[in-house]
Amino acid sequence: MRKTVLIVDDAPDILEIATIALRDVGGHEVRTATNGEEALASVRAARPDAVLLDVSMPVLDGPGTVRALRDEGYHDLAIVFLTASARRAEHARLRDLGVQGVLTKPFEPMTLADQLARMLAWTP
Amino acid sequence: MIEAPVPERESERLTALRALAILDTEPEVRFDRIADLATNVFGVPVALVSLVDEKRQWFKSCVGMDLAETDRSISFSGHAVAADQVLVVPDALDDERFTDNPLVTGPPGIRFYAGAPVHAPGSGLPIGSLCIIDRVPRRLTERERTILVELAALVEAEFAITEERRGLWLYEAVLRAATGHCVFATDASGSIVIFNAGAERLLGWRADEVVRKATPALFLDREELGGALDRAVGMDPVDVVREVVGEGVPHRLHFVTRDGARVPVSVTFTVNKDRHGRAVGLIGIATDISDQVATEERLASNERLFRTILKHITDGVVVIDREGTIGYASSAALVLVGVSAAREALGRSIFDFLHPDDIPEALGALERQRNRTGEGDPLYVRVVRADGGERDTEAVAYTLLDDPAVQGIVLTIRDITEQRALERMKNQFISAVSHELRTPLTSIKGSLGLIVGGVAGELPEQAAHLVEVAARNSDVLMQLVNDILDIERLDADAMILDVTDTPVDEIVRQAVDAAAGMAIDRDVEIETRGIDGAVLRVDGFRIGQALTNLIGNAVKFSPAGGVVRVEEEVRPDAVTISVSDAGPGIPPDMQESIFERFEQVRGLNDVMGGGTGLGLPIAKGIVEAHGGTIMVESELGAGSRFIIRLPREA
Repeated sequence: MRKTVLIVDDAPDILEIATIALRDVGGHEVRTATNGEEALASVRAARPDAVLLDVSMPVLDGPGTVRALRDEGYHDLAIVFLTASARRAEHARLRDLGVQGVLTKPFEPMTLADQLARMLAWTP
Repeated sequence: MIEAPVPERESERLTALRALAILDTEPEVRFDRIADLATNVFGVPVALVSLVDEKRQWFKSCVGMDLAETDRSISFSGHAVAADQVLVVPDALDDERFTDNPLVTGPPGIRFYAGAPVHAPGSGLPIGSLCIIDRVPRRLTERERTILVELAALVEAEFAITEERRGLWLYEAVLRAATGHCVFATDASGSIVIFNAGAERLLGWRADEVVRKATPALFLDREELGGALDRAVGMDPVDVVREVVGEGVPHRLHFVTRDGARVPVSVTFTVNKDRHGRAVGLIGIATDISDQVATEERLASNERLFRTILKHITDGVVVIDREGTIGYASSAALVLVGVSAAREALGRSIFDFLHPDDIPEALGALERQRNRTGEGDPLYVRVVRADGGERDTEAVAYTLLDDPAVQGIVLTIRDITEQRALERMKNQFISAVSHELRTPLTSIKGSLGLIVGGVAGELPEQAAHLVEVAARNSDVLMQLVNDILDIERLDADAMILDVTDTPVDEIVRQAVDAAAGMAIDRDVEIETRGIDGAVLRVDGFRIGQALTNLIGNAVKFSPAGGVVRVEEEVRPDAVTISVSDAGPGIPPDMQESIFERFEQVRGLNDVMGGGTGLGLPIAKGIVEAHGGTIMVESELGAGSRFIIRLPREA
């Protein structure tokens, strides 16, 4: 089932690869943002089915974005972190912010859409 | 016949006689001359020097009679001794004391006897007599009596000489025996008169080369005594001694031997005085103290070395007693705690210098250290400096409480503040680098993954192969980044273990799953045996990581179609998980080093490809962080078996 995913990352290369992985491989509709503020604006404009969110970004980072979205009432908006940290403690910290999942960079582009779908229990 | 009564002080008299040590000695001319003189002066046939001991009279000299001794009971001299006065018997046959005396009735047929008592030197007790005997009766004029007493006095004078001489013999014997001591004596002019065997041995000169031919200046060290000895030329030698070294007290000097060697000696000079108190010479007694000096020098040298080392090593050295009171602190230790003088630390408790939070641990360490000998485990404590600053230190204690010279615990304290700061910086740096590496790697891996996945369309064969090579190597690079992070955490003891009750089968399943893809690629089968749900208190993720590394290696080194066997064995105290392969095996000389980072079995990795060289070190670090052990059994050509052993109550 085709979904709309907002990908937020300050690294344009990663943004491009993730876009191809979800749009061309996964068949979803993709929107992008390069920081938290842009992401908030994008969500306010049109609510996506999921947000794939980087952690450290300029202007407004990942955790700040999650808090802002929840504050604005997007309580059940599906958010999945995409972190460069392999530390389990960091993963736990991110999960505790109340998100639906945490994925690790580097990710496998050919299966990213599957991973996301599994995490969010999307039916194919 | 009437026997002579027992004299007064008989036992003392006998002692004095024996002390003279003249009984049963050879005849001597000096006594025979006196007896001869007596026979001539008095015109008698017999004269004797008779000594009266307990049972007999024994003749030191016997002129005109062929007898060595007679029984005391029949002796005439016994009477002279008992009375301690001149005894004159004009006619023995007229004297009831002697009428039936065998010496009168039989040979030598005594009729006349006159004896003057002779006395022992010193005590003056009568010990015998000088007597004259005739075979016809006669009288003794007053003048003859006087002569007899005078002759007795001559005998006594000879006794005195005997005694004096024996004293000299004794001294000579002592001098001879004292070979370990150099003894010499001079006369008043300084000329050597005595030079004993010890002196010969020490100085190399023979007595006959120096006695009356040299003065002690022969072997005194001119350089050492310097001008004093020159000033002493022509001086009274007694004054020389007083001037140069002093009298009667030991001095440390050097004597110069015949070979020119300088020997350290302890020497005492004494001024030898005659009975009138006049100085008649010098006596010197010296002992070779080479060994002592060598020992002292060695000790002093050790001491200097010890002090120099203590002064220059950067680690602080502190000696404390059982309670922690400081008895010694090296300068580096003082610098560490920030005090300028030893007195600010000595006598104080070591705990005064520690961070309050670290004191309980330090107290425990002191308690352990007092109850052991030798070196203890390192203790990491913070020292609070006099200026309030804190330093991280590593202290190693060495118990020497039983050592009489130390009687304390020696602490070596190293300031590791900079080292710690550097470690923290390094860890932060590595974390940052690793994070920064992930971002471009994510792009590279992602791009290559998409191309390999065909998203960018079909590639020419060669391009497809090259992209695959790049993709595989980006995987290795990624693994390297992860492994380096892990090894750094293990090194810094910063790997946080999330310990929970974990079933072994779960750990094994995850590890096998992780390696399954590679196993399929390489046509290797992974077989599990005896795996059960035995529960271990471990960090399942980390143990799984260690096991994954082992299984990954086993798969990598297995021949195509080979089997990797993962087995579990539960023992009362531990669980072992082993991973066996049928690979080429590990040479014996590498079986230890493969657990060191970046050590891979020579030649193999090039063939098998792909490996960070950190898999085994990480596995080892993880297992050891759980209190477990990891080991390998391997034979070249017969495969390898890696065994993880984890205690059940970690």
